[in-house]
Amino acid sequence: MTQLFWDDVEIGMEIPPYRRVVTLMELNRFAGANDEFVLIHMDRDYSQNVSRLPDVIVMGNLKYAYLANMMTNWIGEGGTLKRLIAQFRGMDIPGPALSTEPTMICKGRVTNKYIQDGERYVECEVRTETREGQITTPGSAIVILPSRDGMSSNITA
Amino acid sequence: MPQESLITDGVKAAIGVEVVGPPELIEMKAIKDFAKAINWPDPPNLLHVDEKYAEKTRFGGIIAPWSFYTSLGRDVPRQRLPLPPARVGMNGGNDYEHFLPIRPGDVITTRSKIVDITEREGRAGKLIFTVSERTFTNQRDEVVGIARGTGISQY
Repeated sequence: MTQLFWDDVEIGMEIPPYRRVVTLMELNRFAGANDEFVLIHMDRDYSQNVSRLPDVIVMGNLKYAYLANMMTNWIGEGGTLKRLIAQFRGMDIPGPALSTEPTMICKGRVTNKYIQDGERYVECEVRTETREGQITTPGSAIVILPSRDGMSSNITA
Repeated sequence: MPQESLITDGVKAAIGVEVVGPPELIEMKAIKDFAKAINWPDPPNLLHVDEKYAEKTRFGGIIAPWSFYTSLGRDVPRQRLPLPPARVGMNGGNDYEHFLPIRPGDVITTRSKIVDITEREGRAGKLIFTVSERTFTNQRDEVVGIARGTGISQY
């Protein structure tokens, strides 16, 4: 895994997009791992006819996990994701079984960088987008990065 | 005719009441299953599944994925709010803060409380927003993370 250094981050820089193919397979695996068995994520008939939703919808917590993956992939193991905020504003519908076309793309951009209490911080705007480019999950993230001179990060968090 | 608020004194009384869940042993398999699920169909990150790899990192061993917090505290007894059953409940947002990694063998205790309940008139009916906060501590009483979340109930 390549390491990102605070020195090399610039405001406005784009975070490498993180594309996900989300089908009922992904929802079911996550339902098990996250102990999140909720009918609007499992049963189309229930979603449409009882909850009056357009379809089964992707769990907010899975979208949150994908945004966290995008961040931790980008910052590398020497970086620390300190805080991640996400608002689940729009619904994401899973793609058909065995689909290989991404249904969701996580994106982000650096909005600020600074040093505070000896730690090197970077703030980002993050979001999930549907294939059509609709933003369904706007949010933000705060990370701590090491510097090229090795002065940070001394925390093991 | 003006609709009566669903946020009665009984609902308000639930704000700030702390509920403590049973201590949860974090098993390696739970970490691996979670790491697999959030990367599927790609292979999971080795830091969460491969001890030999993980011990060479700065963490010195396997740690849980960052977003593992969402799986914690599922057995915390839910506060019963005196509200009518909602048509649908949804997750409105997550705001988690990270302090320390979670490792296999850790015993995590979840303390949960409701910090705010508000009501809005939506297009299709009333909406109740419930903001909750869960604090996770390990067996050394260290806070490993704080999770704030907003639940939306549609009526």
